[in-house]
Amino acid sequence: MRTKKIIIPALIILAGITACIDEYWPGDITKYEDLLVVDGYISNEPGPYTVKLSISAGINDPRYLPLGGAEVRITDDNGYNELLTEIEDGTYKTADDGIQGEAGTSYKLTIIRPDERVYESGFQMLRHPLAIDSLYAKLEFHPSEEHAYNLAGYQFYITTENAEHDSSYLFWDLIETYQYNADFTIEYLYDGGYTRFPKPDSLFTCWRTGNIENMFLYTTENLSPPQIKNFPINFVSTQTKRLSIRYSMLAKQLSISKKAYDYWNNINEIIDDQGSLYTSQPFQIRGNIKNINDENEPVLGFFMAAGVDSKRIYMDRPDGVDFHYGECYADTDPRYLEAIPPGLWPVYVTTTESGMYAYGAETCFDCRLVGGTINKPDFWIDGN
Amino acid sequence: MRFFIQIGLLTGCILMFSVAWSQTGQNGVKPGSEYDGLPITEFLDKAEKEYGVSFYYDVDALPDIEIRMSGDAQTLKTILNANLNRNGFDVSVDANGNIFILKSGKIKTSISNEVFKERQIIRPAQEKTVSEEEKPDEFAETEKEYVSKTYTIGNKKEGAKRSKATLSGYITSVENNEPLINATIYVQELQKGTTTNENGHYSITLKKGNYTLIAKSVETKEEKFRINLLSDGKLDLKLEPQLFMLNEIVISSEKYHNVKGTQMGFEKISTREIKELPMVLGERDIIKVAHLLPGVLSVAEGSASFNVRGSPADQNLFFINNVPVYNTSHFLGFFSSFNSNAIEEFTMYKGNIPVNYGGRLSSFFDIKANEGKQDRFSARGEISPITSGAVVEGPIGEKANYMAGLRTTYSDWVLGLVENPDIRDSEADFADFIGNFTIRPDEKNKLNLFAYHSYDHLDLVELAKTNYKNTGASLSWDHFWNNNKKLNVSLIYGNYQFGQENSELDLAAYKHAYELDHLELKASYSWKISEQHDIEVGVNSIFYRLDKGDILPLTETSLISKRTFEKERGVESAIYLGDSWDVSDKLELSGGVRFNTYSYLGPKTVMNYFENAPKIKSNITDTTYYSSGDIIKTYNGMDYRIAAKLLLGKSSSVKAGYNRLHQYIFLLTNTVSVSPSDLWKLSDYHIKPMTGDQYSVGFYTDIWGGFLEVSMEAYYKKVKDLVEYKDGAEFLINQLPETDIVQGKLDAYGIELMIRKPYGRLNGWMNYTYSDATIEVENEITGEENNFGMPYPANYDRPHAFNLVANYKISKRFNISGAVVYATGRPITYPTSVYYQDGIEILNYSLRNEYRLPDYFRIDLSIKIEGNLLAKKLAHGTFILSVYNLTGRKNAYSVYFKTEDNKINGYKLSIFGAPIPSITYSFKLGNYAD
Repeated sequence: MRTKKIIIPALIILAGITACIDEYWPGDITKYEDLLVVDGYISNEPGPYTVKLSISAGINDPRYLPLGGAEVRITDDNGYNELLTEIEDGTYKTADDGIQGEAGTSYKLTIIRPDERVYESGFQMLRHPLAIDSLYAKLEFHPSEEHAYNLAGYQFYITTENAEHDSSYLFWDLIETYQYNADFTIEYLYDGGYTRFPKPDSLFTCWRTGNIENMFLYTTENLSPPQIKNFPINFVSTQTKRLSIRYSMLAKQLSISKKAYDYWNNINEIIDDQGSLYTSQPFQIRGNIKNINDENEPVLGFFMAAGVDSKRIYMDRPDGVDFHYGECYADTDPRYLEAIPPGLWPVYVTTTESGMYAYGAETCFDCRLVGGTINKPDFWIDGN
Repeated sequence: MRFFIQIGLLTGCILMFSVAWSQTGQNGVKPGSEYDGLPITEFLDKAEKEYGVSFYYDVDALPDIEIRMSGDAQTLKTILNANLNRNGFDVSVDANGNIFILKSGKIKTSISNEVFKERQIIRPAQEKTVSEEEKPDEFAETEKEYVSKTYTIGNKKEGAKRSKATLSGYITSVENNEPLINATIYVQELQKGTTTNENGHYSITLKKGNYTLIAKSVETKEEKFRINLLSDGKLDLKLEPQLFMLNEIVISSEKYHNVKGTQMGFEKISTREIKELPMVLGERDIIKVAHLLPGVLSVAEGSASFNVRGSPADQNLFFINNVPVYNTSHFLGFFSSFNSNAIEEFTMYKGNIPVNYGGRLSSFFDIKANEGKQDRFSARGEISPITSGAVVEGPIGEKANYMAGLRTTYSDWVLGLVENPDIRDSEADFADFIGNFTIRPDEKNKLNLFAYHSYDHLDLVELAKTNYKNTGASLSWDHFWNNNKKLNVSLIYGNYQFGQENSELDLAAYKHAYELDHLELKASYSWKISEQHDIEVGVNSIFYRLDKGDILPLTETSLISKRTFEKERGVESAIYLGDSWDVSDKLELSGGVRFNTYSYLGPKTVMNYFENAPKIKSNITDTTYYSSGDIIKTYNGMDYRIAAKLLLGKSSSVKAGYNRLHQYIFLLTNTVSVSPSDLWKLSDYHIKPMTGDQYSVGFYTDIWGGFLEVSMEAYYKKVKDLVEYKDGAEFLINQLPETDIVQGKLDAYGIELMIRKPYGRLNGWMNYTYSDATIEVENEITGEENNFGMPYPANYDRPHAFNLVANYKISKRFNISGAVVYATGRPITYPTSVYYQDGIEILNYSLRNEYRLPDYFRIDLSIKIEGNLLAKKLAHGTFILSVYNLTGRKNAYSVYFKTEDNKINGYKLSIFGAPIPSITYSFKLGNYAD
């Protein structure tokens, strides 16, 4: 129930002529770096589960700083505990046949840092999952600040089942996978001369999987019946190759505790709230992890126990809409190609419709170079 | 000073009493040849300096000539007469050697009164009468006597048995017979005085004898006269308005208040005093002038809220003719909801708060609406880029008068100009109305009926529709007795309504309405028991009713479920006793006690929480239902108000005071600046009333006979049970506000320095404030805390603040004025580090208010151009050209950060990031002076 956000247009109304927003960076505001950050959850879905530890970075130099070498342990309220294995720097994983989250059980995270500082989360109760009733997408056109035209794309919606308990606190973890093509097939290799490439489309089609970096959460607290209907989650526009062939989204609906919900909701509200006229004060948000010897040490992140229900949806390339992503330019002027030093050979070459040699950047040929893989994911179901 | 001189000139002769302090007569001064050929003004300046003589003349009227001297040694008078007679000027010298250069034959109409202002020459009203009869208010006509006269009050026979006598009467304006409120009558020999009440009535008890009295009010010239007090008697005075005042910005707490009154932390501003001040978007806003006073800050511009001496905005009470105004802003805070044309003046109490005020911890803004002219019909109005408004006033019969003012906006056309379709189709609309009716059936009674309404409507396409309105009325009866007794009984009703339809998120579209009723009855009785003691007793009782309404789904597709809120009721009552005691000539004490009792009333369901545990939903043990009429909880509190003044010599004083106050209603707000959607809330079973203590001391002095007024005040304030909000609090839908509230403490202190030049062609003021306001919220028992229990600066804590207001009169028709405003930037919470959760970059913020926005600085300028000064004209118009933020400095309203394309960008939002010019035309019936 946001009431403050509306004010910014009001502001523009009045002072539209004079109000202005400028880029601005206050002097040195670096503080509270080097704080422990915990990221991970245990759920009723089959393990293994991962917990990532990192260190907060200065605002002037934002980057992910993993914290390796720590001892990470998950304990349940029956006394069972398991030590997680560090599989890569800062990422700790339970064993494949290890601990299995169950609804109704509580879990606690314990961390011992290399410098012997000990942190604990307190027991987190794993809530019963609330099932997803439906997940669907609609072709919509959204206004945009950067473009004069409306952006076409799929708006995804989710509807939950009726929550049995009066309030559910939901957090959607969204993972997208999309199929896309490189701009050119590899017809020849150039290494001073032109050699035919045996399988021109071998690096042409990829699948890329990633987390959707937007936060979606809602609660049934104010709803009656306690059911979330047609809640808008992610919007995927035609500004990228995401919808160019086939797009899939996996929605994991996490039923989390009110505390965890508040944590995320506060973060979300602060992001939402910025830059308007009647903003509330942003504030430092600490998670559920505490240094057992120093309660005042700020620790960031939240170790959650979540009841999860998942659903996957596929959407094919929408018909009748414009795509606005950039494509490589096929350069047919041989002089530039021939100027490429031998150290960079072989160079991928394609042919134009008229049969001319054409070349471009490597990323125009090898779809893997923009983050995908040429191996079709196991779950992937092809469209028509 | 006690010599009266007469300048007899032509018909309609007027009597002038010189009260100038010029030394001995300078008749014999004979300037040398170095004076020959000087321009007249230089000549006069030079002579003034060298010979200590004082000239009185109208600068604007003086001809532009050079003084020619004939060669022989001549007196100043001869030289001036020789040079000026042919230009139609007469030169005359009084017994003290003061030299008057006046236009021949036209004295009455063309002498600008400013000629005499600085030297305090006064002119008694023609009707001035003096009593020597038993029926004291029927005085003998003295109009045609040109001799100065000491007024004899009463007669010896009647006063024979008593050593003291009481002088009383009305002080009215000669202009329109309106009573002058808070006019001062000052007894020079005793250095004491009194002020008139709301009816213009004054009364003072003195030992029998001869005195020099000075009468003055904010809007009028000073009048000085002698009395011979023989027995009780009446003297009605009519004071002349300061027609061509140079000092129209005098904000007073004038001289006598400054040094001699016990009041401290007190400012009074009248509408006519702010005529020249620069304006935002052409709106003259008397309330916003308060921002230029020491100790008054706001979180940011475009905010209607005030932070007085380190207190949050809801610790100020605004009322207009007794009607409380719970939302004083138009258009989300850019304008105040009072039509300045309909306002006479306002008084702000921030230091020693008189005992008749209560219920807020920080300040009281007592706004007086115009009563209306008593002699004739008049109308005036104003047209600015945003609004237009008009005020009509006049008498009804002999005994009654009225004033009505309406102001409305036509800002919709401005919206139409904006390219963005959402804004173009938006609507914004506001209006306010003030009506005032006063009847004086006889001299002893006065009845005032007052009504106020303000309305705001804002429709943001596809986002929200917001409406809010204040409505109020008061009926007030004053009864006076001859001997300094006065009774006032007032019945007051105030209502505030807020409604919003929010359609930001279709899924959660909702509407809600909210209403606050305030019904108040108050009575006060004051009398002067003796020369030393002024007693006031009073009672008041307020019934509050808060209806938070329902939250309802706005559309059929909205998933919001209906939420009903229980109404809240409370009664706040007080009884008080105050005394002002003149201990000696030098020492004056005033103070009082005020017993407050507040009850929170049923019907209402109250949650019970585990003892000593945080008030959160999961800690609810059970509920108690109170039915209608049940008292859920009562809080009693005793207020103390003590103030002392000690005169040091003739023109300096020190004052000290201590105040305790209680507050039972507060604003639920967790935004940085107060938003119109913030709701009022009563103290209840769980939320305790706030208690405030303030200690203050001050030093006041007049330099060079009042040329400059200097004051310095220091205060320390402590608030207990300050209502603060948990991080992430959301009040609108919360049925249990106590779960979002934590009570903490506020510590504030500051020093305020004020220098004022009240008179002269150049006048204005300058002030500097150093202040600190720190909040700490930590409940050791329940573990509830804000900012992890550490103290933090309040949102409005701005340590250094400087204001300069200057007004320069170029000529009668042109006036230029400017303001310079500087303040430390408000505190802000910045993100200082970054971390990642599930691949999402998250900003981690500093502790609360650890950083500050860049400093705030602004210059405003305005030029006022008066229409012609013809005496006979139908209407008079004035143009005011204003530029707000002349330098176009982009003062930061806020700074915020966004993650865009994996990069964190900082942005600064400025509201008035460019110079804002505006032009306002105001008009009134009659000539300039009317």
